[in-house]
Amino acid sequence: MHVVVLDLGTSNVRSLSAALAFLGARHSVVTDPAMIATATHVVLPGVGAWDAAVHALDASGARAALAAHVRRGRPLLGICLGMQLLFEASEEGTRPGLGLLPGRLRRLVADAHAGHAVPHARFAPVHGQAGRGLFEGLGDAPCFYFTHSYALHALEDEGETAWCHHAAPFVAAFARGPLCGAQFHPEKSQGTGLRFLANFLARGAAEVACAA
Amino acid sequence: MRRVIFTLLHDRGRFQLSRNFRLQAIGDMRWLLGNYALPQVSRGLDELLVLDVTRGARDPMAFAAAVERIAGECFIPVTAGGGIASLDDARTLLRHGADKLLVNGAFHTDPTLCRSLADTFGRQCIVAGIDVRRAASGYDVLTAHGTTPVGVPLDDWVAHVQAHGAGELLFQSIDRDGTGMGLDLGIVDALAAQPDAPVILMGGVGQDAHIVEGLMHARVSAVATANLLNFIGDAFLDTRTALAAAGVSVARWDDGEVVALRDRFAEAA
Repeated sequence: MHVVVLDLGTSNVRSLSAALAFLGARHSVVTDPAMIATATHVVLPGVGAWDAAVHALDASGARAALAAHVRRGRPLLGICLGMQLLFEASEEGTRPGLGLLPGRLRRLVADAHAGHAVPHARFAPVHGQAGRGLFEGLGDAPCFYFTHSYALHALEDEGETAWCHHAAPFVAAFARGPLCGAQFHPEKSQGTGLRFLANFLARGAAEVACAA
Repeated sequence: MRRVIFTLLHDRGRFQLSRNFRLQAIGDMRWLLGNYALPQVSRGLDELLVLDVTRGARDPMAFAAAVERIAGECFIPVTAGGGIASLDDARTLLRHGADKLLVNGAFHTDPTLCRSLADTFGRQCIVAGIDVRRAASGYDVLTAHGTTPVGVPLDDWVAHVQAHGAGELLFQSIDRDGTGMGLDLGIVDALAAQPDAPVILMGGVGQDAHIVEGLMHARVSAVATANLLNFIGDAFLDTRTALAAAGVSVARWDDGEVVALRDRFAEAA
């Protein structure tokens, strides 16, 4: 196993690296997308603004490298903005996303009286995948840390999809073949988040073995 | 779900108690880690906030090193700030494990920088620190460790910081700071309208009941405490129990998960 964490320059890769180290996963934090070719798993973390992140992806050549990784059937986990970047577009910016999955991110709707502030910044329960797939070993409504202003409100096709609610339901996490995403920060979600990351790494290993 | 945040005040290698914004050094990193086993303590917390409260000449690299050490001890969000005056300052903190930035004085001295921070790192990354003091009527907003009035009413200041990229609002009571007399809920009641951004209240927490009272308030998303001596040991786990008993919605996590996961992939690697 070799996990490559792609550092777009605005992300907090330190905490993700600490989480992977805690799990004992061999990993590298890289800025050069050429390193993705060496990866069994890629994690695309995310703190930042949409256009700045898309610009960083394009300037470094990461767009093609990530697509090639996925074509090889190898697992990719996008976290927070990194998850959003897997889709086509976002109301947050004008540049095109990676477009590996169809979908457009929309701004969360604030409803101050109902306690729905934007950004959505808190631990919140996630539903819909109790104990299965990426949520294996976790309970009915495990709590993960979210901090975001944009979200995916619909996801086409069948697959693993977990939901959270903030004024309206939105996609908290998903798996579509090798493509996985989490709107929350597993590296900041206590032992619950570490278990999610462990499930991603385990799942990947099995899939790569099958592909080989 | 509502949040409990523990705040660590740092001044060139020493962690501080603050009372009405006057500092008293308590101990260094060794003292902190000796009294707060952060991997355990963090299981009772939603977030950590680490602030450089140095008056005068700061040591940014020493502060970044402290942030890195603290962030490396726990898997919860860490906000860092105090004296951020450039994009590079912000980037340094994020690279040392901070997830969010606390920005206070720059909203007064350099609002353009604040907007750049939000454009670069996202609005969700920017927590505006708003220090307030009770006045004859309402509250005065001050920056620079409570020394400089911003010169506009509280509501206008809240609108100003939100217009310049603030994603969350941390209101700190200078009057209650370090007194242990309880939070000043009058601050959030004084706001003409509920802000769209989450509201964090800090200053005056001396015991669990104060945190419960704060988080029962409809306008308060999170309560922070920098009380370095009252929550030693497993105290924050007890706080969560008290919150749950009072009907406050807070996240709970299974303590066993972290231990069970350790070294799970060591063999595979």
